[in-house]
Amino acid sequence: MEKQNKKSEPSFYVNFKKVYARNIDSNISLLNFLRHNCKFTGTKEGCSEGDCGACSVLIFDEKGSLAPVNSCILKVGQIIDKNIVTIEGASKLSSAKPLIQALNSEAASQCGFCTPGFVMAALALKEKHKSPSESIIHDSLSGNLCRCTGYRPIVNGIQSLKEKIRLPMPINSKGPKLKTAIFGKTTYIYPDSKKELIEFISKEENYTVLSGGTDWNLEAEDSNFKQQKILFLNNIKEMSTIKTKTSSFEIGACVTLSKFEALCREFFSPFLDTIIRFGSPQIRTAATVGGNLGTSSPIGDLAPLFFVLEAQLSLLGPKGERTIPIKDFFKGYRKNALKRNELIYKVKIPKTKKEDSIFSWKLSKRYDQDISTLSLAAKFKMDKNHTIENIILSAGGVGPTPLLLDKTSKLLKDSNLRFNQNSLITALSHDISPISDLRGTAKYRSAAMVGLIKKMQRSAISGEKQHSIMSI
Amino acid sequence: MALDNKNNMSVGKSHYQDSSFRQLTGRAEYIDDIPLSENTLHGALILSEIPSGMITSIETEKAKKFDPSITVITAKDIPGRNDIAPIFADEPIFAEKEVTYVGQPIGLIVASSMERARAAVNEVKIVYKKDKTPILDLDLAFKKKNFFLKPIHFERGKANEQIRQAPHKLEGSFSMGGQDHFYLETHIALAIPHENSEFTIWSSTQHPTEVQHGVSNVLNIPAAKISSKVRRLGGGFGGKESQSTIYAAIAALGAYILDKPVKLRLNRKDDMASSGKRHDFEVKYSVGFNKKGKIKGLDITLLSNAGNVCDLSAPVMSRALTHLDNCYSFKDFTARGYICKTNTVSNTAFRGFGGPQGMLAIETILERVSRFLEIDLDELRHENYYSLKNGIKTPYGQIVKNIKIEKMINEMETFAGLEKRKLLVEKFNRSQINKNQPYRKGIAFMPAKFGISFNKVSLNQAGALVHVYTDGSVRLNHGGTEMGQGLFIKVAQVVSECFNIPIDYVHISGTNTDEVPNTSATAASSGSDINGMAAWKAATVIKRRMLKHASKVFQKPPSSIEFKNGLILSGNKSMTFKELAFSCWENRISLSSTGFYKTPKISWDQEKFKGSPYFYFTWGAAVSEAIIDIDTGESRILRADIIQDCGSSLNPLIDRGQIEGGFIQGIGWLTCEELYYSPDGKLLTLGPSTYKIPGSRDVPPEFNIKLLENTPNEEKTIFRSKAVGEPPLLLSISHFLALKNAISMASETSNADLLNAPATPSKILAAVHNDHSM
Ligand SMILES: Cc1cc2nc3c(=O)[nH]c(=O)nc-3n(C[C@H](O)[C@H](O)[C@H](O)COP(=O)(O)OP(=O)(O)OC[C@H]3O[C@@H](n4cnc5c(N)ncnc54)[C@H](O)[C@@H]3O)c2cc1C
Ligand code: FES
Ligand code: FES
Repeated sequence: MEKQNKKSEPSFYVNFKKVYARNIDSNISLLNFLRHNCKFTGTKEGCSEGDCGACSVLIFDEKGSLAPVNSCILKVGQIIDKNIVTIEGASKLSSAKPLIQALNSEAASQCGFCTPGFVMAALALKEKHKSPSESIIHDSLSGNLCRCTGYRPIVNGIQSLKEKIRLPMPINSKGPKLKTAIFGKTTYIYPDSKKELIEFISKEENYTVLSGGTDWNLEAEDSNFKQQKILFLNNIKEMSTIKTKTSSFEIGACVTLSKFEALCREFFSPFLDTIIRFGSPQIRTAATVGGNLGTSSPIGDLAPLFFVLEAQLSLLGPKGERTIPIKDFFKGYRKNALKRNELIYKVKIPKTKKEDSIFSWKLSKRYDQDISTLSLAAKFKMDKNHTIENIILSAGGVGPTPLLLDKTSKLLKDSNLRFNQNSLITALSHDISPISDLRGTAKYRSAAMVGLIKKMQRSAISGEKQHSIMSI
Repeated sequence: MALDNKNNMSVGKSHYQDSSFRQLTGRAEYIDDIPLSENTLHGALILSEIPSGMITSIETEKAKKFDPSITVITAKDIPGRNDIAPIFADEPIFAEKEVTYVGQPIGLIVASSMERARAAVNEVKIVYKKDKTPILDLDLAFKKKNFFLKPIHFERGKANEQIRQAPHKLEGSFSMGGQDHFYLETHIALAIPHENSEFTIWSSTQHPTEVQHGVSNVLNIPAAKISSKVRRLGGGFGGKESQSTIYAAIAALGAYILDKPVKLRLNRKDDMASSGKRHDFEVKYSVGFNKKGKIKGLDITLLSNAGNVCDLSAPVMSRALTHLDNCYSFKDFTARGYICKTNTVSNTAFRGFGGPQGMLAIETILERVSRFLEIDLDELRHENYYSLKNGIKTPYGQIVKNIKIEKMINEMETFAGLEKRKLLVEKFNRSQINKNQPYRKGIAFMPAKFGISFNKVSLNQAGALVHVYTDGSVRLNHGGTEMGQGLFIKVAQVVSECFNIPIDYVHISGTNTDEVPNTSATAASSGSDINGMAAWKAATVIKRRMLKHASKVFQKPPSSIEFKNGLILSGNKSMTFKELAFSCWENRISLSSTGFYKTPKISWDQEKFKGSPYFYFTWGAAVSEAIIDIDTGESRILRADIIQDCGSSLNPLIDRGQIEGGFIQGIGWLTCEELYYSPDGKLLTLGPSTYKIPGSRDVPPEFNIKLLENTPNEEKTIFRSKAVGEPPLLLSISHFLALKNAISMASETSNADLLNAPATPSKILAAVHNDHSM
């Protein structure tokens, strides 16, 4: 790599010190950079696919609050000017010592390979919660696997500590923002306004749109040494914010799942159970709403929710924005309505009305941090006589795309939820076409979909929330 | 014997795992963290993509175009033997002509960085001549009689006659899946060449000696020149007993050929594709019994999936067969074991080593009989428990001594309140049915007896090396490896006890074959039993010399001199341990000694399948309460109560950790961990995104653990302790039984017999709907 002027060299902060990303021959991950270039070997690689948490580090968001993130699937190109804290930095902070002591006293580390990752996740938790409930602890540890301890000593260690942890503020990075950065044969392009974005997509052809990278960085594992251009969207303010309008929310495509979670907490609480099970805290720090739709996977967890909320997508192309209803977005297995040089700019969700009830259920092999085997979302309105006025059902994992269950919705409405099992099976068989794979057989998916509809039915009839066995 | 001392200094205390604090602060060094010299190169494996066939060519031009500086190494580059079989022969590190499973190593690419090596591997193309009829499952292997070794067949009494004459009989079969070890640290080895053909091999292994032998064979260099080392493993669980030798030998081969250090770290995908797992088993049985559930005759056939090579499959099968009796006396008993050869990855040791599979077999059979007879499973068990009345001889001939079944059952009743809870579970289920709600609970107790010792007698030996320095510090080394199980601290406690010095006088050093040679794997739960004893012996030799010298210094008989808390006391005179050590040196007394231990009393005739292979048995019991959702097949464990016999525990904190961790690992095996293969023999669950081990929420919210009290080991083990690494894993079978119990109460049509392991949502729903094809 040619010598660059220091000001235009990509840099970021690790443990409160500035580091430059120099002499790099590939599209390097933060994990490899920390371990090889910074010699911070406390951060471990357990899987390199975002699922085990051994590589967890902390990243300060723009508000200066800390969040855990998987350094294995985050590229250095995605964190320019950001502040990262690793176990080496954290364990030196006096505020972190009581936590480490507490974990030690409970014998929370056996082989120790998972341990730095757990310390990171626990620090992020204890920065927010003084004495978190067991359930919140599990939510916070859902991105960390331990094969030795059976977790209880880790949970106990966290519980035994009754004070909040305060961590120092990040270093404020100002100065010139980079427009591009090069890592081996990979070039990152960093537009920071809609204008710059349009300019770029108007003239360039071969590039990849990147946001959180929790999907693409895994898919493209083999391309790290190949010539490629990456259009990084997250620096565009408007794409990373949620705007509240009178009758809707406008969610920028780069809004992270963590931010979306906060929105759900306030306005779409029945979806919260599903959102908290979207990956892990580490994943939700990085993963974005636009990225989830961009993958156009049949098992993306947001699509069914957006279907029943009747979301509108605003798509941005060289000629500006156009809006389509979400039901017109998915076109086949991992195919969508985006035209060349078009990307998802925003998602508009109408606010739900008081009379609307919503329901969602994610079904996976393991409750936490697992991709859905199938999922169901519903919105319905009951009148005073307990008659269904309207209902929308949407499902994931039972066809090549996320689906609307039109026939089934009609059956539920026409029968006012008093259908018999056979008519349900018939209706479903028109709506869904599940396949067998490692998450479950086609037959299982069909049978479990019947089960999920029954849950929705029980919830509608009783007006009560249906609890998962993991939360009763 | 001093070993029974009650007023202990260190032993029996809850010391932390020796490097816990360093692990918590990121300062514990694993092999991937060792600083490298600048000339170090990195390897990545070329793996087979087909289950069976011949290699026609390995095309590497594109890889060399990507990076001309790479080196490609294959079987033909091996100077010694292409074989690292732990017991039998013919287990190559690289497939040479024939490939026998998807994921089999074919070659190594060495490059300047791991990422480059991996990127180069992606450019390699292998051309095969595919075998059209690979054997991918047990049924086909059995049909084709594709076995390793002669099938084992042993019997006691006349099982088939008894079954024929019994008032009731049942026949059936079921299967249980394998399990990936999923240690968080994947396989890794760093091979460093030195002058005079010497090599240092750092590898994440439970068996440094076998690594040394494997490297020696592959490189054709005497073992004495190969120093095999490991400070700690990021988890092992049996997966690094024999398997690590393959990767260490491959790294060593790279270092040999390039004359530079070579590191080989597998990414998770390559680790899961190429390395062995827990054996999946198939069970076929017929059983005859009376109306009270007394088993009159039992005929069991076990098929195990060995995979492409035999590896440790023979002793795994032996342990499975010798745990079919669990806690029950079967007088008329026939068992057969077929070790099936298939075109899948070679299965290997995994915590329990066949024991869990054997025990799951018998527990599942008894559970079925109890449902058939509509009697309580625990009443049925009572008819069959080992006791003076029912008999105390195992089908393979060992006498079961010091039986603790009654003691455990009694303690469990007060601990877990089993009988009352059974009624509560039934009540809950009735109310769920009445309210048209989808939840069902189930509850089950189980006892477990687990035999301690390696099934192969020669492995039951250990060595240790202890040095005392003139400043009173003590260096401890032994053949056992630390993988999180707390072995190092336990053995250090033994040495601290021997000299009666504070634990921090004892410096724990990493395992290496230079210091203690010809060791056994740290496996079979035997780590602290045998290494603790060897260290005790080494320390005792030194202590005796020191005592003799102290007696001269104090001019008092040795019997009047006491080592106490770092001091040497004699009447009203004293000196420090350090002073005595220094004085010994001045008087030219050796302060270093080895120690050697071999387990007594064991014998085994594999040919006749008879003998007393186990030095002693550990006992355990558990009650699990499960809940299922009959809409979706989801399940969880709600509560577990465990009582485990640890003898006089060396370290209760560490033992509890083993119990909790082992139990949860077993829960994973029996519920969420599913190895899923494509129809053409490719493992598709190659990482944690698809292979789901338990997470923190999967642990029972109520989890009660108790060590069986006042039960020093009747055998002379180190401080009368008992092994604890594996036995608790088997107790997770109680959860599987609880799930069956819940399914049996799910609806009129549900069929608990359909439940095979692992009990994934899909299998549970299939049993609830009584639909085989789901
Ligand atoms: C461990 C783990 C757990 C996961 N768990 C879940 C889960 O529970 N539920 C679930 O649904 N998903 C899950 N995912 C998948 C993934 O995290 C989500 O799909 C996430 O929302 C992707 O967002 P991202 O910003 O990281 O996408 P990226 O990886 O940046 O992009 C994904 C794809 O979308 C394209 N894209 C990104 N932004 C846009 C845009 N604005 N317009 C058009 N195209 C765009 C990219 O080019 C790429 O093809 C998981 C992933 C991992 C690694
Ligand atoms: S290494 Fe497993 S999540 Fe990053
Ligand atoms: S302590 Fe070994 S994986 Fe957690």
